Amino acid sequence: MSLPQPEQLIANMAKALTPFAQQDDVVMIGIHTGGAWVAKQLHEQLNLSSELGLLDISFYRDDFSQNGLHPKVKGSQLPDIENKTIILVDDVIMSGRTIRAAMNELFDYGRPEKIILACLLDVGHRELPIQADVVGDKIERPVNQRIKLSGPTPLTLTTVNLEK
Amino acid sequence: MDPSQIQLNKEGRLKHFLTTEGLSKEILSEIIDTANSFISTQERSVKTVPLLRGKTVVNLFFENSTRTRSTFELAAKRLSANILNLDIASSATSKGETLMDTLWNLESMYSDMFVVRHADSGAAHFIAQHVTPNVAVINAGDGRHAHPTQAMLDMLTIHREKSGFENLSVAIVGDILHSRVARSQIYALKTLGCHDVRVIGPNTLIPKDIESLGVRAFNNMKSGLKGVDVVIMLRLQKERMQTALLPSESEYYRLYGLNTEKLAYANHDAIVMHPGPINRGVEIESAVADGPQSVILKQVSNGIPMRMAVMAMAMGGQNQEQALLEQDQEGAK
Amino acid sequence: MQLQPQHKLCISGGHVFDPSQNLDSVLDIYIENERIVALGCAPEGFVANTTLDASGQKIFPGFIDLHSFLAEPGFNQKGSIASETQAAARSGFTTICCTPNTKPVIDSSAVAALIQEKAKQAGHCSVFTLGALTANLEGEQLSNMSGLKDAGCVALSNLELPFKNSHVIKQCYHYAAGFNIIAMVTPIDKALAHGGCMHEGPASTQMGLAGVPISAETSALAQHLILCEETGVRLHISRISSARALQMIVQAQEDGLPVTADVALGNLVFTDESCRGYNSLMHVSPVYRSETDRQALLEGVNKGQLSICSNHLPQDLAAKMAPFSASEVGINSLDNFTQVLLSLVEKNELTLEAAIQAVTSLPANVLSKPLGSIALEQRADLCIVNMQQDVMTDSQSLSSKGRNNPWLDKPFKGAVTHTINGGHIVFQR
Repeated sequence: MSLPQPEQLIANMAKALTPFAQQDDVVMIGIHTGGAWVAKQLHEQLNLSSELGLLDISFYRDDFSQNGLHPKVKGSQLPDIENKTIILVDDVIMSGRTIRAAMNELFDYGRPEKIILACLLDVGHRELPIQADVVGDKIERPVNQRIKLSGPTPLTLTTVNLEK
Repeated sequence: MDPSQIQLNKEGRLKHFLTTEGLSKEILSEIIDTANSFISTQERSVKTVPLLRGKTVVNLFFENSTRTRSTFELAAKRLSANILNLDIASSATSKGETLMDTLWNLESMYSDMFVVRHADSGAAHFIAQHVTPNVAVINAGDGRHAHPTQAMLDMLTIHREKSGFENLSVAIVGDILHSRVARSQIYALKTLGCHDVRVIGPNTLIPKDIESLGVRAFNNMKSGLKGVDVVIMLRLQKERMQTALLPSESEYYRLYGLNTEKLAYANHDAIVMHPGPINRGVEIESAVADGPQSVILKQVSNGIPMRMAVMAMAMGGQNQEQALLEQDQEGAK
Repeated sequence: MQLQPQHKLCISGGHVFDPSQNLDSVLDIYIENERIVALGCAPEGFVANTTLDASGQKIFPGFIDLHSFLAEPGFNQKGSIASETQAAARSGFTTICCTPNTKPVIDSSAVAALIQEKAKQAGHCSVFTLGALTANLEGEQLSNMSGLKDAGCVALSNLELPFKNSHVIKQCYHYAAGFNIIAMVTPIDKALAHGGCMHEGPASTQMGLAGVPISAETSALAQHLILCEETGVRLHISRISSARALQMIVQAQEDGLPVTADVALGNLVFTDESCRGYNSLMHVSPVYRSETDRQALLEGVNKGQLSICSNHLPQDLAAKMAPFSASEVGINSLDNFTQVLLSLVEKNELTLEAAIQAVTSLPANVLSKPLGSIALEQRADLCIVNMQQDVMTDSQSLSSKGRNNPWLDKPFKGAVTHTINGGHIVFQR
C-alpha cells in the first residue's frame, strides 16, 4: 500500500491550522527530528511571527531503563511559552509516548495556556489516551510496521518492518 | 584489564566514567554534546529532568571537597535522583576499615551510582571492578591519576568558546606532577584532535616522560605561551614549597604566575581557564582572573550540566546492559 | 624425612643436565642414604630399595632459592613454613633461604633454631635462615652476627630496609667481614625512592602513581660497593632491578670486589607495563622496570652474572584487594617457579644452561655451600622434570597459602615430577 506524500499532508495541516495561526500568542514547537522538519515547513507556510521552537525529548523518554540515553542528543531551544498557545508538531503519532514526554518537558519550561497537537500522520495503535487535533492523514498499519519520515529535503515517508 | 574498557558496556555505551584515557573521540564528543543540551535545562525555571528519578546516588568522598561534592549533589538532584553524602574522610576508613569492607557495607544500601573521590590513584577503577554489577561509578578524582568530569567541563568550555579542537594550541601551566586534572585534560585534548598540547612549569613539577602523553614541555612562559589559544592555569598548593619542589611563592609567581604581561605572549584572543579554586597572586593575577579573556566563571557554570551528562549517560549504559542481560536470560529459557 | 639405614635409591634413564659438571646425557644415578654414590654404572653390590624410572625426563640439581619469605613465625594469615616449603618442593627446590622479616625477626639464635626445627618437621625442603644484619632489622644497631652464624644462618640480610646512616652500613660490613659472614642487601635510597610504588617512567606518569627512579637503586648501590671495597665484606646484592645496577656490579667484580648478585624471577618476566590497569599483583619490591632493563637482566643471567631467586612473598586476599599503592607488596612465585623459568627458556629468552645454573651452582657459590651440583659424594638434591608435560595451576592446587599468584589458570609446559632432598623423595606429582 503506497504512503501519502508529505508535501500534500503538510498542505492539509497548514489549511487546518490557519485559524490558530492567526492568534497573536501562538508559538509553534517541533519535536526533533521529524517533527522539527515538518514544523519548519509549517512555520513558513503559515507565516508565523514568533520564533520556531525545537524540542528534544531525550531527557523525558520513558524507555531510559531499557535503552539508556540516546547517543545524539540535540537539546531543546524554546522561546518563552508562558501563557502561550502552543502548536506542538510531530511527524508520526503511534503509541503516544513521544507526545507524553514532550508535554512533560514543556511544562518544565513554563505553563502554556493551551497545547494543540498537529501530526503529519496518525497510524493508530495508541498506548496512551492522547489524540492529535490536526492530522495530515490517518492510515491503518500492522503494529510491527513503523512509518519513518526522512529529510530534511526531500521529505519522504518509508515503511520499516520490525523483526520479531 | 585495559583501564578504559571497563567504562563501556557491550554496545560501546558509557557505563562508568573513570578516566578520559582510552575513550574514543565519538564518546567524548557525545559527552560534550549531551552536556551542551543540559545547559538549556539549567537556564529555565524548572531545572530538573526526570532521567534518574527513583535512583539513589551516593557521594563517596574519601578526600574532603565541598565544592566538587556539592556540584555532584546538585547535578544528581537536577536529574531527579536521591542523593546520599558519605564523608568517609572522617569516619570508618580512618578507623582502619579497608576500602573493600566499606564497599561491601554500602552494597546493602542498594545504591545505583557511586561518585567517588579518593587519595589513591586507581581507586575509582578498583571500586568499579569490585562493585555489584549495574552500579555506575563516576570518578570525582583519584590521587594524581584522573579527574575526568573536570577535564570534560573544560573541554565543553573550550568547545563553546573556540568551536573545534583541531587547530588549537593549548598550554597547561603549573604543578603537572601532582595534577589529576592535567592528565585527564591531556588525554581528552589529544583524543579530540588537538595537536599542540603543552605543559609549562619548572622541571620539578613536570613528571618524568610526560612526552609519552604526546605533549611538549616548557620551562619558560614566553616560549611556552607563544601561539597559544587556551591557557589553563593549575592551582599551586602551598605544601609544594615545603617538600623541596619549589624555592618560594614569589619565585614561582615571578616565573609562572599569569599576569597581563605574560598573557600577552599568547594569542590576543586566547582564553584563560582555571579548574579552581584560584590562588590569587600565586598562579594568577586578579586582573587576568577577572579580565575579559577569562572564562573561569563559565567553567564553573558548565560544571553542573557536564556532571548531569555523565551521570545520565552512565546510568543509561548500566540500564541498557541490565536490560540486555535480562533479554539474554529470557532468550536462554 | 626419616633417615633409614641403608636407604638406596636408583634413578634410571633420566637425562642428567648439570652445566657446572658438564653433564648433559642420559645417566643413571645411584644414591645411598643422603649422598650420590655413583653416576652411570651401579657401584659393586648396589641393590636399590627404590627405583625411579625417569626415562624421557630431565634431571637437574635440586634448586636453591636465595630469597623467600616463609611467613612463620608471625604472619600465619599469609602462610606457614609447612605450606610455603611444600610450594617450594613442588617446584623442585631442595634449599630455601628464608628471609629475616618474620615476627619476631631472625635476630636471635632462638628464632633461627625454631624455624629450622619447623622446616625439618614439615620435611619438604631444607631451609637456611638468613639472619638480620641489624638488630630487629631497624638499621641502627649491629645484630649478634657471630651468634646468628653459629645458630646456622648462612648469611645476614637487611633486605631493602633503610640504614640509619652510612656509618652504620660500614660498621655492619666491617664487623661481618671479621667473621667471614656474607652480607645480603637490596640497596635502595629511601629518599630518592620518595614513596614510589612502581618504576618511574611513562607508565607511572600516565597512571598517576609515584615512581621509584633507577637512581634510587644505583646511588645506594654505589655506596654499598664502595663500603664493600673498603671493608672487604663478602657482599651479595639481592634482587637487582635495573640494567645500570647490573653494569655497576659487573664492573665491581672486574675490579676484584667480593660481590655477587641475583635477580628475582618476576623481574625477568614482568615490566612496568604489567602494572597497567592498577593490577595489584604487580605491586612488588623491588619494582618491575622497563623492557630495556628486563632484557639486560636476562642477558646478565645468560652470561652467568646473576642467580635467580623467587622473591616469594605470600599475601592474604585483603592485602592485595586495595588500590595499587595501598596494597601490600609481594608476588607468590614458588608454586609455579619452574614452569615460568622454563617458559623463558622456551621463548629463547634464556638458555637452559644459564637458567639451571642460575638456580643451582650460582646460588650455591654465593652461599659457599657444597650444593647445587650432581656429583659423587654430593648431597643427593635433585629434581626431575617432564619437559613436555602441560601444566596449569589453579587456586585450588596451590600449596602456598598466598592469594597473590599472577600465573593462575595459565598454561605452561614443563612439570616437576619428583623432588629428591638428601636422597629422599619429598615431592611426587
